[in-house]
Amino acid sequence: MSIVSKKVYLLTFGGLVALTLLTTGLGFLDMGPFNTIIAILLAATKASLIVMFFMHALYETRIVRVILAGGIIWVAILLSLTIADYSTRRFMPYPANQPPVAGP
Amino acid sequence: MANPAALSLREHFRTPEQQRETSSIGMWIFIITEVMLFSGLFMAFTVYRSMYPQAFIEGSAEMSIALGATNTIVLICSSFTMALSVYSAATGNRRMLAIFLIATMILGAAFLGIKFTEYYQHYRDHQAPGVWFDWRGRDAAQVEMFFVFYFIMTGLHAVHMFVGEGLLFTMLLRTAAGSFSARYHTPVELVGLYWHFVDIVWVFLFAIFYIEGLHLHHG
Repeated sequence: MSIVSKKVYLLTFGGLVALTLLTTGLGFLDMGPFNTIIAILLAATKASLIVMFFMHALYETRIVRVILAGGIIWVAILLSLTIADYSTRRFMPYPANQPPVAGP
Repeated sequence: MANPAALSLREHFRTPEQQRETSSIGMWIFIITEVMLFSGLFMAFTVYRSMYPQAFIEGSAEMSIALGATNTIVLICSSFTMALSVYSAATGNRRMLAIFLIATMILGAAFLGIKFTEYYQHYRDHQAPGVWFDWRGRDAAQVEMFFVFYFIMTGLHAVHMFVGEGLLFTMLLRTAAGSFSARYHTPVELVGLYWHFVDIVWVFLFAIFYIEGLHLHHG
């Protein structure tokens, strides 16, 4: 187990604070659908900084990285298949002889 | 407390390194199960958010960005002090380990304090779901749904914070008892992993609850 230096922690900390301020600042602008996209992308960037440096994923053994990758893949399956289902589903109206209503 | 030499290599392990790696793998697998738990909630939020986009953005505009952003910074600071706790443990500096553990606990408590202040404000403003809920704008039921997600998801996160505080306190007691050294400090590392994971969950909660409706902020 290698010891990560204090400098790395300090840089990660600075990056996280900067990204939080950036996220908040950009949030005040009205960018339509990009508000959500940018907020999620910046959150994912912050999460990767935490995982790589604070949680030492960069310095861990290969099996830990495999476990991490496995987790990410399962979340991707959860999100993609559920979104695929909801975006193609049509809710059947009652009574059944009326035309279907568009789903979400 | 057992003596440190016995803890650093239990009899069913070949080397201290193998023992550390085994514990670390177990913790990572646990964290992945936690990721799946929160992902289910994020998924449900995404479905409702896409069904009622306007109502969810209206709900998000009711969040206090000042308290939310402050809390994000507080939690990032606590992750930083947690990382320094692990560093102090790894370098065998027990005094600094205790100091940074206490700092992390204080920051965690500050986060919970600010969080419950927000809960109180939402309750006071009739934004807590239930019979007390009162929304004068459009789509009251859908905005109420937004607040259901808000309270359940940030509530589950707060429960994790309480667990984290308990773990930190245990680490503090064990540090005081002299259980940790540069050679053996795996529990501190694992509590660190847990604490950073809880921080990551908050980073995403902050993005979906506070940032989304910020551009039409009115409170």
